[in-house]
Amino acid sequence: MELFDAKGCLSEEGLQALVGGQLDETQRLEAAEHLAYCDRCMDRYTALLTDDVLEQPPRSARGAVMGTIWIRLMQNTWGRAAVATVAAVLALTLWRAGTLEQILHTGQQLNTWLPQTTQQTEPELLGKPVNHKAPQPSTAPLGKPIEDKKQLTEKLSDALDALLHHSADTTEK
Amino acid sequence: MTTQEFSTMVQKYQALVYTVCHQLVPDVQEAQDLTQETFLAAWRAIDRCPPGFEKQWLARIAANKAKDYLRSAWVRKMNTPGDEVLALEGAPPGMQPEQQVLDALGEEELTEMILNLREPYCTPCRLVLLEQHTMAEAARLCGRPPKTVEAQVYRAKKMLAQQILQNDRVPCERRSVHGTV
Repeated sequence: MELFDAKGCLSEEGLQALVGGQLDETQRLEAAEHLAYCDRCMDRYTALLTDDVLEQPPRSARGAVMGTIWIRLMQNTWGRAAVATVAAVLALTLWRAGTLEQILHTGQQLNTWLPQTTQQTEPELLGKPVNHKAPQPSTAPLGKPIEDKKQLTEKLSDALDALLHHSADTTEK
Repeated sequence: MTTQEFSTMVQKYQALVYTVCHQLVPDVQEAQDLTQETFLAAWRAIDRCPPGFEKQWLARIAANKAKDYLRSAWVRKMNTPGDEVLALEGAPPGMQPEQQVLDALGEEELTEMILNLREPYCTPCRLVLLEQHTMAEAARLCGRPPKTVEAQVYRAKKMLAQQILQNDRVPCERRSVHGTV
């Protein structure tokens, strides 16, 4: 009996022998290998597996299969729940022990040790043509508290005077 | 697909899957185990099941499971040292016994034996052993999965070596060089 035809597909008698359980071990391996990739032969083979040929398994597969699926699903669910619980307990323990506050406090201390740097970004000036007459940004460090109030008052009054003179000049013209 | 729907599917197709497994693997217990493995693999890949082709899809998974089982059994059986393998002890390191036997044969004789192989071995062996194609090229040319072609060439070599030894075709002087027989 030739299991395969010249094209390398299962022959008709080969398929009949497979259904009839007449193949030896090597032939069964060859048939399984072929059915694993050949769509045409799989269609021919399943067409032969009619209700009168089908065998019932000695034990129902449903119970065992669904049981295994449920166990795997539960393992996934419970596994995630266990990780979440451990994380929550750890966070609570750290919080209760004051470790979290300590960590935060250390962070603040670190900030005070870092040098005070301010970035002068003036988005409104970006992309505009260079204007040399534009007021130049002050080189004085920003955010520095003005210690002398008197000095400030004098500066303000000078600026007001200059403004008044400038407006008076323009109206005369 | 919900677990309830899958449960219904298992109930509907368990006879089909068991039949495929049992026709390929006659041992009842093994067939039962393969049936369960088939459905578990089907559950994992259920998104890839083409609608309307559940029967063929499940039968293919079952054939794949049976193929893996039969391949392992075949390799175990063939690698258990029998008389012919023990007879070839003393071969150079890294040289497989069947390769040694094939090398001992004249080119013409070997070509004839390969061309006389039956399918499914003739085509991949011709491509790999005679036309010097790689396994991947041979797989593409045959329209078979690369692993299948590899397994078929491997088995064909074993079969040829056995055939040669049975026919006592290995020249005596060659055997004596390797201190065998």
